[in-house]
Amino acid sequence: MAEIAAAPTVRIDEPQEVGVEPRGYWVTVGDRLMRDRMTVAVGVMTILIIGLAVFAPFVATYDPLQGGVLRRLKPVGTPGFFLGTDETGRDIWSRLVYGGRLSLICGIMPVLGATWVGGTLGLLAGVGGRLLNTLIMRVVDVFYAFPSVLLAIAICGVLGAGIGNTILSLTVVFTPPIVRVTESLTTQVRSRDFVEAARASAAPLHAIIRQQILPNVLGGMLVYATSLVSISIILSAGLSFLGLGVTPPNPEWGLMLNALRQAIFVNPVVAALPGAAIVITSLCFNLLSDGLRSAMDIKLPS
Amino acid sequence: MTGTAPLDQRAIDPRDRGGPAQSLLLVRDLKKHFPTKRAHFFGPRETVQAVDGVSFAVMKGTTLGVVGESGCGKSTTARLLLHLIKPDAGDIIFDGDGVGAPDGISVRDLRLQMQMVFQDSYSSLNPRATIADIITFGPCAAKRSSARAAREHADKLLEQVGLRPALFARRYPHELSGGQRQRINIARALALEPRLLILDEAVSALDKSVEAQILNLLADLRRDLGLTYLFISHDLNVVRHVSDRVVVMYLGRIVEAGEVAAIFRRPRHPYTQALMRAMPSMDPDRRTEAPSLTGDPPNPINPPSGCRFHTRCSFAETVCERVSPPLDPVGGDHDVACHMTVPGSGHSRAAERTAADD
Repeated sequence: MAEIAAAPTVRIDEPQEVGVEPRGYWVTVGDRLMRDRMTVAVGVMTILIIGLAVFAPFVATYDPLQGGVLRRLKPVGTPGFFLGTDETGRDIWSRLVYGGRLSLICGIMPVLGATWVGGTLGLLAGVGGRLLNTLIMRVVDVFYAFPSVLLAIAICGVLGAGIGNTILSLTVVFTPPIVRVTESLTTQVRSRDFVEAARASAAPLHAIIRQQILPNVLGGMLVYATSLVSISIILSAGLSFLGLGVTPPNPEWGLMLNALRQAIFVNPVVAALPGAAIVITSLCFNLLSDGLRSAMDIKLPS
Repeated sequence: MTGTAPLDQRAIDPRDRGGPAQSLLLVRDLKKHFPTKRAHFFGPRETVQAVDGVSFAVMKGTTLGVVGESGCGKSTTARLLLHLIKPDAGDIIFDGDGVGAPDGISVRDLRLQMQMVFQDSYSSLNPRATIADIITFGPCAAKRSSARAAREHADKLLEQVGLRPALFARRYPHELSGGQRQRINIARALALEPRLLILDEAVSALDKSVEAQILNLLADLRRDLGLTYLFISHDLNVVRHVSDRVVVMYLGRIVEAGEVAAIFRRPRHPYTQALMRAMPSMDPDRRTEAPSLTGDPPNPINPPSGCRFHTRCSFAETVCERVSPPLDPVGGDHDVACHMTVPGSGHSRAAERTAADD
């Protein structure tokens, strides 16, 4: 192989200096998130809601379980009970912050569980052979045949009410969609040349999955999982509303909504408060997921 | 062409087994047919004959050029060699050892000695990994090198491909230019210290000045590391420049093979001749006026019977439709698969041609 004659004399060396410091992908995403005002506002709001729930004993003004016959269904703005009281005279504000604990646990735990199980299955289906893929994906399709609410009700109905069973049933409900999303992301990534190059390097499969495929799939999974948190909060509230979730007298938003339903004509504003908590919280997680997606959707030159 | 140091003067690679006379890579009758999706449920399952009986040899320390238009099976062949796609049939023999044979070497051992540089410099680099991670992945994951040793080696490789480690090791692929990324690809392929490098259209996507730099880099590396190249390209000028031998592929088969000088001086297969005529000329008095080859290559799902080129060949006769011509020597190190070069093949030009040769 001869040197190309013209090149050594006029050797156009590529510029070697790149001005800015190298930044990792996640640093860039964080930077973009911070510049998105809407997402920052929603993020602050979410942290506030989580903070109220975590520090419920300090921010609650009354015992959430302590009622009083003389102070039933007080309206919003009553001195001492600034968000009013419920049908047994328990303070709404205290019940809302304590209820946030259970509602958030029911919103986040199933999604974490489903991401773990579904993500693993989706990755396996994506990198495994056709047989494994068919096996996993067709089983997932069976779960898709049931509407998610019905499936959750059915599982909870069989296992009985209680927070543990609510989390379990919602995990089962959210696993199939996460398997699907992960599988399609994995299949996309797997066909890229850098995975071929990694295979050609004689590296074992687990190293290829962990270091080449997973980092490229994780972002999409994260966005999808965040969007599921709001659905999970709504579904768990629905289960409690039906009496299949959290058992009374524990405060939980769905359960509170059900109990206050009877008081809707007496004191509609107080009756709507647990619903408002559900709406605001799920909206926050939804918008957070949107912001995350647009921050991670970095157009790279190809 | 030139610049190849005589093999006996080069430091002998401790992994060398057969000596300089044994070809480093020998491929015999390699086949891959991809089944297509059925058009409807009861439809027939057809097969794309991507690679259909390809045989060639790459001698140690040389460069074999593989040319052909897109879709002729060049890249599939490259992937078959590395077992990225499992071949349907055929043998791959690396320095005397059959790959996957009972007494041969495993696919893993083959990959440690044979690496590939991909065409798309962007998609072949993990966008979430730093340059250092990309280069050290192979040695760490496949050879269990320590992270520190791999990193030191990566810095050395970066120097070798002309990039300063201090500036590039911590960067991400999207921060680099196409030429720089292709240098990283080469460094990554070299990280496992292979003996044979497959360059699958490795310079095709680069602009001409960068292409020249990368070609010079490849020439330097081959000299310094005693590498053997399999150079896949559709660019005849580049192939002519870098190769010692050339293989011309058409629709999954080899139609002509031989020394680069012989093939470029006197191409014997009508397809090779058409390719040569299509080469852009620097001489304004020899401009290409009419396209030398018309139409698209036939669909590889139902390739033409007999000689696969007969549908586009201006010399085609009935024998070409019926009989597939074997790849036979036509004197010297030059093989052609064409009825016109075989005396008594039944082609009207066959006898006449051989008479002229003698």
